[in-house]
Amino acid sequence: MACRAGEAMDASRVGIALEALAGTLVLVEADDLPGLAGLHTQVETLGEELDDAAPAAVREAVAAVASRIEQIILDEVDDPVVSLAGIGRVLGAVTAVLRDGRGVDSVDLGLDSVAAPPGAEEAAGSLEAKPLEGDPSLLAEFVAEATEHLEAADLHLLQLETDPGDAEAIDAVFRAFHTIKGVAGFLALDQISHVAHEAENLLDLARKGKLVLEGPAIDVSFQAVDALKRLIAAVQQALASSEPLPFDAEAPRLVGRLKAVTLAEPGDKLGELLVGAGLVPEEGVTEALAEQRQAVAEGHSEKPPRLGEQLVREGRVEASDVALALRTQKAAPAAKAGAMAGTKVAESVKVDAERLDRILDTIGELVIAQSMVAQSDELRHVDSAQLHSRLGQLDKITRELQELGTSLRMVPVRATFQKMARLVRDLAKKCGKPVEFVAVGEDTELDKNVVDQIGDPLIHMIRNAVDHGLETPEQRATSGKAATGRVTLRAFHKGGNIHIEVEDDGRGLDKEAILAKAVSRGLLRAGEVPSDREIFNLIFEPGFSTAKQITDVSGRGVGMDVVRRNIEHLRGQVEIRSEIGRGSVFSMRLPLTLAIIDGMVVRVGSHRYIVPTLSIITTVRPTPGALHTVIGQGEMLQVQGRLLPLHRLSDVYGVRDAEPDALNALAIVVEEDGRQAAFLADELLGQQQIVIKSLGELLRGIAGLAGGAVMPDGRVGLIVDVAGLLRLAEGEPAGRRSGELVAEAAG
Amino acid sequence: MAMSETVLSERALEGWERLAGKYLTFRLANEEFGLQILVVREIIGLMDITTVPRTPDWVRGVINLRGKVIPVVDLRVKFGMASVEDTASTCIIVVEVTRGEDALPMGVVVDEVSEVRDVVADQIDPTPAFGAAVDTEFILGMGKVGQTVVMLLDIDRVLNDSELAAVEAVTS
Repeated sequence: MACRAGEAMDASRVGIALEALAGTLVLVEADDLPGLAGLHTQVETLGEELDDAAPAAVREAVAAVASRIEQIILDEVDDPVVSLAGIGRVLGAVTAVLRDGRGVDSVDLGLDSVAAPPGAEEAAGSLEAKPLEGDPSLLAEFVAEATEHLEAADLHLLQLETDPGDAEAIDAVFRAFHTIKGVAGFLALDQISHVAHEAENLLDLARKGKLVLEGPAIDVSFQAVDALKRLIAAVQQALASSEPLPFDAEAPRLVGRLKAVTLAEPGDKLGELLVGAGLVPEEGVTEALAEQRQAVAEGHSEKPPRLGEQLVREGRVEASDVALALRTQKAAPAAKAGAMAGTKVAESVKVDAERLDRILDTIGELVIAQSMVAQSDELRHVDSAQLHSRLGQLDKITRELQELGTSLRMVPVRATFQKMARLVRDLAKKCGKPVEFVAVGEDTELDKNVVDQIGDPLIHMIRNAVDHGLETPEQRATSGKAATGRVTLRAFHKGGNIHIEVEDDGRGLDKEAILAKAVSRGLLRAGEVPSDREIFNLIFEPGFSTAKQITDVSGRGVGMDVVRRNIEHLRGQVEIRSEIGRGSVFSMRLPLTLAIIDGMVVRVGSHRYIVPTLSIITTVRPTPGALHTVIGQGEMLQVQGRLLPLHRLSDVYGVRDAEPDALNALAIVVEEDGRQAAFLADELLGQQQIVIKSLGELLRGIAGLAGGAVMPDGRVGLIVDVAGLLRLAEGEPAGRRSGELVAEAAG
Repeated sequence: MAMSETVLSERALEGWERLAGKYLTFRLANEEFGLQILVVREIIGLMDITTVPRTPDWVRGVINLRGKVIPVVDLRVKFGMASVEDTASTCIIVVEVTRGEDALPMGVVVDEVSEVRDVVADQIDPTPAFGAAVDTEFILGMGKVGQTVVMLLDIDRVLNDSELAAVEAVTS
């Protein structure tokens, strides 16, 4: 019985009304009361334009929309954003029938979304998995965005734990929940929207100073973040597998807890406004609030009647006054939000890593091509100031592009450190140890790949530090330490590497216990006397754990060997420094794969090498007085009063056409692991920023070389691995090669 | 007896069928070699090669291939032929070497690139045995194309595992 609409009535006027409606709907915000009022009038106008020729269902729908908007204005709906989205859907369907002439039977008017308000209770009733409704790309975007918001919220909650009054942090968490709620509402992700909504309410109270974020309030906020993470992960899963979104049974309970905390606080925003405006005596509000709470406590309804509603029903105040107070209430945060809109919100775009690499390679080639043009001989003979100034500009732009390009892959370790802060908090709670977490060097930049992969080893090390490293508060008290343990996470650049350290001020590693265990496991023979370093390294052996009891957190003997494997996989190293009773430091040294470093380009014979500037202490030209030989083979150089071993780069790398006379060469003093040495090169060619590239799978891990770099002339330069170079130089006694060199030099 | 011979030749034929196809042929001294066209990525003129210390002598060094650093192998040295000065026709063939699941780009220096040739199954003969003196493991077969004999190379084997291990031994 599809009935063609718009034949009898004035189609053009209906069309105009619909268009005006669509326009308003796009612009209106859930808390924009004048806007909503305008929308209401327009819907009513539309209702008047529709005559009997319009299908009954459509007229019904329009009437339902009108009353729903009324409810939003009166703040009678749980979630105005969700309701608005519902109204949008219904009006879309109405338009399809009225303007596009589609049969009413073929269109789902979606009346449910306006007739039955999608409150928390109703949604909680649908325990079944439901298919995702939103547009997949929007959903994916939401997942990424929400994840970022939650990471930020996590961090700010941690800040709030130490300083519950931090208004900026409260606002940040509030914004995170608010945004998630809004978008989730539009995407019909009801569970997410409800949890976020309740969490937002809680934070809103904190924002207005009605609630202090501590104790259960902060715990439940953390739980809300966790629950949202879980729910969003479920959305991601459902998206990937195209399966329906499962119902999360834990979420409704959390919503209950959030509500409990929110309602437990005395005073109500609306009530205060009404009292403040002299509309209702204070007792009236207090009574009404008491009744409200009682209704919840007695289980009459999980959702208390709205305060405004209740006051009006009891005749304590005029409905119009409530509306006014509501409007005031809405205006304040809106103004505040407007003021905040200008604050740092860094936008980001996700890019395929391979594409990024291609961009970087191409930029590198552009730089080379540009410098080849700029330095070409032909150009030098062209006498045109304009051409040269334009080339100068091209040069500037190219360099800028290069700088931008090289920074693209680098990300600060901040995000990873934030996760660790959260981990320490949770672990501390679990172990019953108060722990202070200190992060140093969060802005240290690392290649994205490396950052992504240090998470696991870090988690293991942090767990280890909190669970094994730190003593219980009682133990700390007996050894005269502050009850609160301290875990420090530190990142810094050193010697062309990135170091990440996990330090605790706990009991330190028990050398004797490790030794005993090693002997009993046959890793060491009794009577062997290994160095401290060797002893500590034993705990990286598979299945090695000296924890006396197995806890939920760690101590099952898995972990430390995985840590070492992970770090070695990144071609890094891990080391332990520890002092009994004072604490331990787990130090990871990671190479700068792909990272940008400053390098000194040196010439050795006809070869060029790049020495990471960070490893270089100084460069000196050897003088006859400073140069010493040892038994006619080894060479030593006196630098600033210290005697350093002097190695020839040409010996180590087998370069034959290098300058034989040290007095005509240049000594580069380097430091590695606290040791210093000097290396002899022919000449310093300059300094430049370089991107380390691997020499390819076939030439991986050549001793003494950290990789290659594309030089300004397009050739490949080799990057010196100072640690490897030192090992090579020291491990190799003056052998055949240097003998040859001496012979050549003599000849 | 007769039957087993038939089976054998059928098997051999199958093998040649698999080898049949397009080959990029190139010259080293006065010998012709062929590379299956599928492993060839591109041919580039000789460019500056950076010597890498502590690698076997048949590793000529590394080059910058549009921003990527790739190793270059000198096939003359690899095959134990006398080295010669580079000429205008010396070039680098960029091939893909399969190692495990990865296809690794690698350059090989050759005297001169000749042409792309179709080699059909019945033009392919097995590699003659020279005893232990000559390593022919990396030769798939001998293609007889017109008047010339083309040695069809198995590039993955040119750099076989033991030699890669040797690279690692030198470098570690």
